[in-house]
Amino acid sequence: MMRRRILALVTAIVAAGMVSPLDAYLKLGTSVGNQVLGIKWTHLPIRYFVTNRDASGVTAPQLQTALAGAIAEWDRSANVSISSQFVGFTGAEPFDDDGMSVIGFQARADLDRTLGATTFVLDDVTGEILESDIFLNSAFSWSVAANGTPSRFDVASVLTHEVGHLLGLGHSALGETTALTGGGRSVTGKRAVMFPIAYPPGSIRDRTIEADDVSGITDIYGTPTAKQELGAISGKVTMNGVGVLGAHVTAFNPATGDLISGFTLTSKGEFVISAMPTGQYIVRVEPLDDADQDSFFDEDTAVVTNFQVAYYSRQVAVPAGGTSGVIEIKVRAK
Amino acid sequence: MTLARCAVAIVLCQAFVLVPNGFAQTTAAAPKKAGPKKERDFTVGGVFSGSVSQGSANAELLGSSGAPSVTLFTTKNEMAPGFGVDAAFGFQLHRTLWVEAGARLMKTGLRTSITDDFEGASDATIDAPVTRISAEGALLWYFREKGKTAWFVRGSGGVLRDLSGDFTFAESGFIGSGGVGVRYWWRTAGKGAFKRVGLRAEFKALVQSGGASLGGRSTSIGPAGAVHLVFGY
Repeated sequence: MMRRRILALVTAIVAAGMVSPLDAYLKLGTSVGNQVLGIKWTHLPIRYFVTNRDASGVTAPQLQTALAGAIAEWDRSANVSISSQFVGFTGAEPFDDDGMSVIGFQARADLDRTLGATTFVLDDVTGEILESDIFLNSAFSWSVAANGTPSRFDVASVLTHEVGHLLGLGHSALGETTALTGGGRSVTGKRAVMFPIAYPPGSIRDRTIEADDVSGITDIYGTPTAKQELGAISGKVTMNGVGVLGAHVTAFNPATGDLISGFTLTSKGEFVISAMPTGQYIVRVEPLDDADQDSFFDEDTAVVTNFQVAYYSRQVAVPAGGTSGVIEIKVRAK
Repeated sequence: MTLARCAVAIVLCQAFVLVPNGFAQTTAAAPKKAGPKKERDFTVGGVFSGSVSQGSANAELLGSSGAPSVTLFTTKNEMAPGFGVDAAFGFQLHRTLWVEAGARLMKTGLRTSITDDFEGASDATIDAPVTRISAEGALLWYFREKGKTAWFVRGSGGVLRDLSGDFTFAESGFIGSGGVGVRYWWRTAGKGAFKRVGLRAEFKALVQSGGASLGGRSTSIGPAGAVHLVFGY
């Protein structure tokens, strides 16, 4: 077995980062030979430690309680099968390659826009997650109050996001931001905990995962029943007959108000959005802005962005246990 | 009426009721007089339904409080007008009261108007074909008949199954209707299988619960109509 530690660039949740709008869940993957494998825990329960140090306003037991709640939030769907085990408090540090999954605070004043991050140690052959650490940046002010604390970031909310990474999810772009005067951006709205930018201090909204998050986690850890009850949309995005790579494809269910999305991930512009509740969906395609790409794709990925927002010309039916017919969404250049 | 007279009247009524039973024990029952023969008919024809609003729905992003803060786009949804065929068998229960059982096949569709895209995309109207199969039972009451023409009210209820255009997706629901109509016999004394042949037209309100839907509303109502050939036998 070969082990490899990665600090995926997409795992940082930033207080005021460079990401702007859009929608989608994305699974983390690792290259094995000529293919990319989705990463996941295959040996459950996930055994984790919590650092034994208190941070300002947060004791180690409070951190452990918030972490357990965040893991439970991802596991609350009956269609998802995840199990975890708190092993104990430890003096070990997050990000040490020590065979232990450690979650704790670290003071990183140099990361002035990073609230937290997640790293992995992977099996280089299977993509199995062997170890994953999460750090929260104690350079920020934190709260574990039930209703949040103004001017402090909510530990449970940020942990819910980071645990999503720990489980194998990448960033969603289901959100909108506005540019700040001094640089960076703030969230004006989002519909996914896995959006890369946190709500402002005081908000506890990210304690609750959204439909986009649920589909993402179900896609990775879905039960056999989920595969029978849920469906998928597949298709491709083209411009002048050529595939569009890196386009955001968003599915909206008017009956429920849910938004679930995916990306085109091949040079042919192909996409699959899996683990979707059955129903009729409106499908919308939009480009990633240049500033978004680093949060979602490797720098050397040739993401196409010079096209106009477009809708598929029909509603798309998602059947139980199946996939919609392959749809082609044709977009026009800007 | 005095109290005494009232008592006598009750006693007489009891006697009137009891006496036939007494006779029945000692005499053979008289042959029952045959009533008018119950009639039956078969209807087949075309049906149409008007558009039915399924409300509006917005693709919303949420702010830090959980309230909607950004509308990505707005949709107005409806079940598009539909056309189809249906057939039913009718049975006369009483002189003016009929019961019917039938089935219907319709082609309709879901239609969405998309406006106010947050990133300036052009407004769009998109749709999806739907095949609707339904089975219904109905009661008809002919409340007025003059010559060859009869007016009726009709109420029905049943189940429906909506199939997406590629038949990969199906939704079940309930359907009901209430309306008025008119039947006209242009042949009333024919020979062969069908003694009477006529035309029937009906306008009604169609109520749908479940089935293919783009809106949050579980129940919707819309106009509908039908024109049928009627074969009496």
